[in-house]
Amino acid sequence: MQRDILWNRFKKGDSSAFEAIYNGYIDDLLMYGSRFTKDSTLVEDCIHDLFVRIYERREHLNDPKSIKAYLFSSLRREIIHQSGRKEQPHEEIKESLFHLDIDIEQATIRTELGQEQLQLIQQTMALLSDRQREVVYLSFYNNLSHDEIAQVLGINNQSVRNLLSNGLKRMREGTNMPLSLLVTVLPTLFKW
Amino acid sequence: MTNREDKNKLLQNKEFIWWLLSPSDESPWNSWYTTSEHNRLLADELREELRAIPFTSIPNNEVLRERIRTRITTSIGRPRRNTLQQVVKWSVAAVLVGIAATTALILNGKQSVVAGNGQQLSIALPDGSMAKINAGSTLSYNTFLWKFSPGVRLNGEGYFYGNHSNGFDVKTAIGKVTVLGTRFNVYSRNETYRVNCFQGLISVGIKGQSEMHKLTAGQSLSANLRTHKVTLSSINYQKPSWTAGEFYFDKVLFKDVLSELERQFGITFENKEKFENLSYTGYFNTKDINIAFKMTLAPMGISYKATKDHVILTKE
Repeated sequence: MQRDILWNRFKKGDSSAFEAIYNGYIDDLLMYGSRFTKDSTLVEDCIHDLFVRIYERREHLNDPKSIKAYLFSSLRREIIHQSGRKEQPHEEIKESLFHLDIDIEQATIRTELGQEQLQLIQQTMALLSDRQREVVYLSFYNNLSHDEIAQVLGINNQSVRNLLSNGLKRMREGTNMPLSLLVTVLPTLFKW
Repeated sequence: MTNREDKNKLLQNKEFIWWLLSPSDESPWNSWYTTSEHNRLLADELREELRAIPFTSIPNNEVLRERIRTRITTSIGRPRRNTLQQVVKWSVAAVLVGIAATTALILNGKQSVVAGNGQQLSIALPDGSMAKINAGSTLSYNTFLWKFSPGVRLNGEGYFYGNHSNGFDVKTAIGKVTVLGTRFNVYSRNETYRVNCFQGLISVGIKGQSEMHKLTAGQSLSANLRTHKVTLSSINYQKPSWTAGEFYFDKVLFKDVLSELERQFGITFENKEKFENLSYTGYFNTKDINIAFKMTLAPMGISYKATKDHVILTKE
C-alpha cells in the first residue's frame, strides 16, 4: 500500500491499515527506542502509548510527509518524557544519551569484519556527540533525509548539516595525521 | 591486492569510516570516490558491510511484537469512563437453545461460534446487536477489526436483528449483505444464497456480480451460484420460521429438506441419493422427530428405519 493511501485509510478507521502501519514500523521503532535506554519495559510502554494515542486521535491527525519520521519523533518525545518521570537518577534523560554499541560477537559472525576493525568503527562513533551519533543513525541506518531528521530531532535543516560537518572536525581531531598530509599520502597508499 | 586487503586498509582510517557513514563534499574521500570504478565499488561494498553491523538492542522477536500488539488492542477496546456512550460488551454471550456447548476460539481477537447439528445459538455482537445461527452454521468476527469494520463472516444460516453499527456487514462465500436496516436473514449453503429482509434496508451483493440489490422489509432475494439465477420475491412473515423451529419449503429439491432434517435433529440419512431430486412443498417443525418424518418422508412415499442417529430410507 502506498504510504499516503495507507495513512488516509488508517485515519478513516481501516483496521488493516492500522495493523500494516504497526507491522511495518515496529522493528525500526524497537531498534530506535533501544538507542536511548536499555529499559525494554520503558520502550515497550512508550510504543504502546504511541499507537494507542494515534489511534484515538486518528481523525485529527495531520498527514505527515514521512510516516517513519513522524513515528520516530513521537517515540523520541515519549521516551524522553516517560524516562523523566521514572526514578532513575543514573539514567536521567534530559537531552538524551544515544547509545550505538556494536554487538561485536554477532558482528564477527554476520560480517567479514574482524574484531579489531569493529573496535575501530566503534571508536569512530564514540568520538561523536550523542546528537551527531543520532543523526548518523537516522541518515545512514534509517535512510531519513535531512528534513526528516530535522523533524525527528525538532531542529532545523541547517542544524542537521552543522552537526554532520562538526562530525568531520571531530574525526580529524581523532586521527593522528593532519589533513594536508593525508591528502598527499593517499595516492601512494593505494596503487591506482 | 585482493578486495578484502584493500577494504581492510581503508578501514584503518577513521576519517574514511566517517565519510562512509556521512558522505560530504568537504571530505577528500569524495574525490577519491570519483577517481575510479574500483574505488566506487570498494566504498559501496564497505557501506553495505557497515549497514549489516548489528548493535546491542532490546531482543526483538515475535513474542514481544505480539505482546505489544495485544496490549494496544486491549487498550483501544476499553470504553472511556468519562463519556455518556453505552459500554460496549466485548464478550460473546451464547445462549443455548437445545443441547451442547459453544466453541469460542479467541485468537488475535478472532471469535468463532459454531452451531453443531441440533443446535441454534444466539450471539450478542460487539455493537449490542443480536445474531441467531441455525444448526450446522458458523459465525465468526474479529473484535480488533470490529471498531474499524464491523461485521461477521457467516457460513450457513443466520438471523440478524437489533441496532447495528454503521456499515455492519455479513460476509458469506456467495455474497455480502451490508446492513442499512435492522432485521434480516441470510442463508448461504453450498450453491444456494437467500436473503430475506424483515425490517429496514439492506444491500445484497452476490459473488461475481458487480450489481448490488437493495431489499426493504418484505422482500427476498434468492440466488443459485451454479445456475446464476437471481430471483426477487416477497415474503409476508415477520421473522424467519427456523428461529421458532419451523421450516417451510416451496417446490424445493428434497435434498434440501433432508439436509435440514439432518442438521436440526443431528441424524444421518442413508440412501439419500435415491430421493434427492424430488420436488417438495410442505413444512416440518422441530418439536418431535417422528412427527417431522410424518410430514416430510410420508408424503413422498418414503419409509424409514431408525437406529440411534442413523436413518435408513427406503421406497414404500
